[in-house]
Amino acid sequence: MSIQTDREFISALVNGDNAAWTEIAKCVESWLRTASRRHFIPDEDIQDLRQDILEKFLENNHERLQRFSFRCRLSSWIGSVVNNHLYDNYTSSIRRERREEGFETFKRNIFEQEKQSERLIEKIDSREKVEKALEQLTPAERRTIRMLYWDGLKPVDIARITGEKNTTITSRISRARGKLREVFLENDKGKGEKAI
Amino acid sequence: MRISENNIYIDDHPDHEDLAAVAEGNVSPWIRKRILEHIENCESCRFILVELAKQVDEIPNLALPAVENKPLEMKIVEESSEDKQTDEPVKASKRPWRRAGDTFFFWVASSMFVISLLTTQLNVHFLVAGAFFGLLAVVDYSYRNIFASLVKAWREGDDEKADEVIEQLKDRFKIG
Ligand SMILES: [Zn+2]
Repeated sequence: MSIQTDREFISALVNGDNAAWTEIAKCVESWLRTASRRHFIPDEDIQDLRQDILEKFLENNHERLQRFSFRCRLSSWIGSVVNNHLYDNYTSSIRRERREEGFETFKRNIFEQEKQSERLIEKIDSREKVEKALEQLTPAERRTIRMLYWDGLKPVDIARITGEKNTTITSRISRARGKLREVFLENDKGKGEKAI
Repeated sequence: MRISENNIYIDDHPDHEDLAAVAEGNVSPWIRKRILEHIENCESCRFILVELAKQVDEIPNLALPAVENKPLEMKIVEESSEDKQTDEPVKASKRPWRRAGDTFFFWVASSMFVISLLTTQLNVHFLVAGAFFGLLAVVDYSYRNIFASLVKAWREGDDEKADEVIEQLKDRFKIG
């Protein structure tokens, strides 16, 4: 059903239907506005970005629209183009934020529900230590932890991306948490022994 | 550029369609596996996928508006522009010159011109700088004007005017 709509929409675009181009402009703006809620993009910059992206659409993406193969919704594809543009042209500060915030979010939330949470959180004192601890996880566990804390995805979004069940993701998260807990406590023991 | 033909990634980055399909959760296991491996080492694709995954349910499908719904849509545009006001702190623009555009250049040009009249030394330099910024103001104005008039026409529901501007744009980029 939605493929049919997208098909009609693309043929209207390719035929130069102005209403369709107006809808594209609105869709680009919607994606920018949702991004701005998280990355605090000022309104004036949104207008600039929208203009740049629409120009690019007219210049580069027109031909690609004709080859669109409906593997995803057209509005999602536009989202991909918009976020690509954001990353390439706007986000040097967003990139930095993502790294810094990821570490902070991890530190704040990973042992939130543990009994000795304060003692554990104290041990997460450097990014290097976290990276080392993550190496002790399986690739799937590491990927899930990164998506959860660094990318800020919810378990349900992670499950959709990885094609797994929600329950698989949540149980993997708690398994990874358990492992990390051991690793951080182990580090501490090692230090204690050395000190003796 | 992310261009794929028959799912072969020409320059290593996955196609936008594949990234979006993974975010929607509607993709073959083979493509999903390749993309999950790819984003381990590619920050830009990771960013795109993550942003899509967070928002993909919020953005509606694109659909052609029925003609009689036009006034309602204009209302939606206006409402959405009112939504811009949020309580979240807004960081300063990284490109203030871009935002201020022609007005900014106009004022710089005028100041340079006045300074060139007032000073006895380097007055030619200021005059040249004034002329340069004046030129920038004109270029910036004409460049932005076309989009500004398009947005204005949409907001006012003036379809004829919008069509005219879009025709100009198409001519400019040789479309259709
Ligand atoms: Zn990539």
